[in-house]
Amino acid sequence: MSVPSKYVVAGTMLLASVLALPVIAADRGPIEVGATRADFSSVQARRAMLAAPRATATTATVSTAAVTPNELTASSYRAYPASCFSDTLPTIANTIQPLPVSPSGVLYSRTVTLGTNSQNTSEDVTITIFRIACSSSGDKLSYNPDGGYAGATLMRIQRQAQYEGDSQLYPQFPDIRIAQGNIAFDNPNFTDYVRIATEPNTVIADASVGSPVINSTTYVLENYASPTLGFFYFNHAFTIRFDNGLQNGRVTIAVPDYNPTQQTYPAAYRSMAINGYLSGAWYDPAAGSREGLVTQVLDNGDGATRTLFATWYTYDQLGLPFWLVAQGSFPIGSTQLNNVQVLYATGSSFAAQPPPPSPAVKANVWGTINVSFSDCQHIKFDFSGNTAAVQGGPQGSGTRNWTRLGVINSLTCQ
Amino acid sequence: MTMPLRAGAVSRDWRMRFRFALACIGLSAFAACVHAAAPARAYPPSCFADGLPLGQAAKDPRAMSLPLTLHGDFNACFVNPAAPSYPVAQQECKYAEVVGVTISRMPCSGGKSATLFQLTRAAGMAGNTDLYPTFPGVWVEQSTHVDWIRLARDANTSATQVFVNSPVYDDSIYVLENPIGAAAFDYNRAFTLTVDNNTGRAVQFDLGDYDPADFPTAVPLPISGYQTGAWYDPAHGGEGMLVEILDDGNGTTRTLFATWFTFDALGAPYWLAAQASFPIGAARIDNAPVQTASGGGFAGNFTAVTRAPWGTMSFAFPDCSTMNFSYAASAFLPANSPAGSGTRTWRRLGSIANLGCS
Repeated sequence: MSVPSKYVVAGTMLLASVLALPVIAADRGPIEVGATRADFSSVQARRAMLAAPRATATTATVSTAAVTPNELTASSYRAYPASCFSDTLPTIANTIQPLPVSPSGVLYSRTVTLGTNSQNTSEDVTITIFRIACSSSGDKLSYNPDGGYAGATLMRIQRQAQYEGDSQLYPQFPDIRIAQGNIAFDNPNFTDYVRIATEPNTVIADASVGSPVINSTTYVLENYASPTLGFFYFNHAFTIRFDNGLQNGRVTIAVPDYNPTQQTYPAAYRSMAINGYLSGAWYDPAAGSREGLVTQVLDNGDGATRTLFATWYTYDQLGLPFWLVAQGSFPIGSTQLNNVQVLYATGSSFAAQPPPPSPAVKANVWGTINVSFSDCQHIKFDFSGNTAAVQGGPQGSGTRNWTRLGVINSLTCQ
Repeated sequence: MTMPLRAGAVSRDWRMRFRFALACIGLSAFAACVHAAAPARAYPPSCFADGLPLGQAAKDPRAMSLPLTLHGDFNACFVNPAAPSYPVAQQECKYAEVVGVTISRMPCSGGKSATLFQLTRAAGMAGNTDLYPTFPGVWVEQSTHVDWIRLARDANTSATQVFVNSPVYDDSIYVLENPIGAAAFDYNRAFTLTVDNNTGRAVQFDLGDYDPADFPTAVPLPISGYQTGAWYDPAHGGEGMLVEILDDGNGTTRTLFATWFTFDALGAPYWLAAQASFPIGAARIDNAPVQTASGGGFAGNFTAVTRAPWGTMSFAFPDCSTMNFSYAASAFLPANSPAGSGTRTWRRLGSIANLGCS
């Protein structure tokens, strides 16, 4: 149970005065006279050393142990799919914060009294734990061993409006621990430490205990890149504890399993917003990889739209190789592309080798395709078209659900 | 050229402090500036496709290193006398350590570089968490532009930064990033970097323009996911190659998967597929086998496909927007198949979202 600092004040100091007990919301106040704050320096030291396995080793020596260099943007100790935040990653063209500023879904919230940079003052903040839906392909993954719904777990520290941005007197980041399963608070192996970062897909970044919280900030809960530490399954139930170092200064929030419904996390039930992570090769597992779609999702550089560029490597009616190409621009955030024009080219030559077989390449309209991605591993597309310009080309219409082939380096979609 | 500064000897120092006080208020309050705006990239994101390396300075002939005395953790001064850690905290409160500050550049593709900032603790002190220095203030002057900068231990971040006065327990390396909510620096151009220990002492590094010729043996762009893309010949539209660089999941190799969308001798669409595994760090792939497939149908309407060797291809990517390749068809191919041999230089078509190679 949190003890609002104002009431501590009221009990210790104001009783001696003639003033009545103030009936105001707890916000800021002096710390109880004579109270001491715990020394978190050893906690901070341990966390900092844990957070930086690369500091004492070359990348070569930690290639498989701590950080998988072939997945730079996806730590091998990641807590959620690297692709989860792909629509909010800042670019030069926008000013989107790295993590959502407004908690959504089911909120788990408490008022927490934090120590400040003044030794004698505390400030109440609201800490909210919430989750956002990520691609949930059903795959069993390191951070999602049962293949259930995958989300990323976020933490918002919200200062009171009147103190927002105050950098003269500001609360300090608390000592945060997590208990889950066999990992108990304050265990001798320190496996209850949790890494907390202000942007997604980091490996080392960690908010240090005692660091200033000047603006209200959203953090994402992460695992330390160390095999000797606790590894949390943030989609499962856990208890998170905030310790400001003061007497009675510990507050816990019990967070249940991530269990999205249509109402609580509609994004978990929608197709994915189409972004670069949905670049890839796709095939029909029943037919093998002899035929496939290769998609690439390109930035248009305008901050508003992207382009889907796709080629379908297939066969004509004689069984000879034949390819179709589709290209369409769409607004960022789109989850379904409809009536993307499909073309096929004729009249050109291989590798521009002379002599060209005909005067000029010609792009012929084949038909259209609709595309969506239910998760990182599956593409659904409807197609309809024919090759009027050549005899025996691929033609027809239908709907297919194909599966991803391979994982693009540095663009791990899960 | 480097020049150590003495306390109070340079007025710029004071000007900077004042400026910062106006902008963000308080040296330990860097977070006041956080989230104002996403800063511009300071280097190509593909530059760290294989991680942020330690010891990079050894490869930079223009790397500069200077000693700087950094003070201990002032928070230790406030530890309660009753605390068991009090005696150690008192030592830390008064502690100072001469740290090596090293500035170096790391070659990236396209004639660009990233600038690295390394702190090396005094001999025998690395990893000591009882007695440790704290992170200095770091600011940059470039032409008329002066500002505090952002330093991060992860590559390709947009908001992460190390705080002034935060503990430096270990030898550590940081990459220079652009300040948040302020104009961007071009770290490839000449600039002056000042490292201020916040107690009246600073060292200054004058960096010249970045010169790729300083790194003659560098492999600026090992083949990674960033070379995934669509490639084509601007002079010969209608033909292209979609390349994907895939993780093999073993930590030692990757796979190139390329589909060449081209034409047969009659001018009808035809495709070839190349696939080859290669060691992580390689800058070229030689003699990747290329196959053709026949006997298939459209949209899965077939039961079997005959795959046949077509020949080989070799790939290299001198920069993010250029693909050099050679191809050699075997002598025994069906009539009208794509055939012959040659060398081509193609260009990238577009930039894959979330995987910008520049």
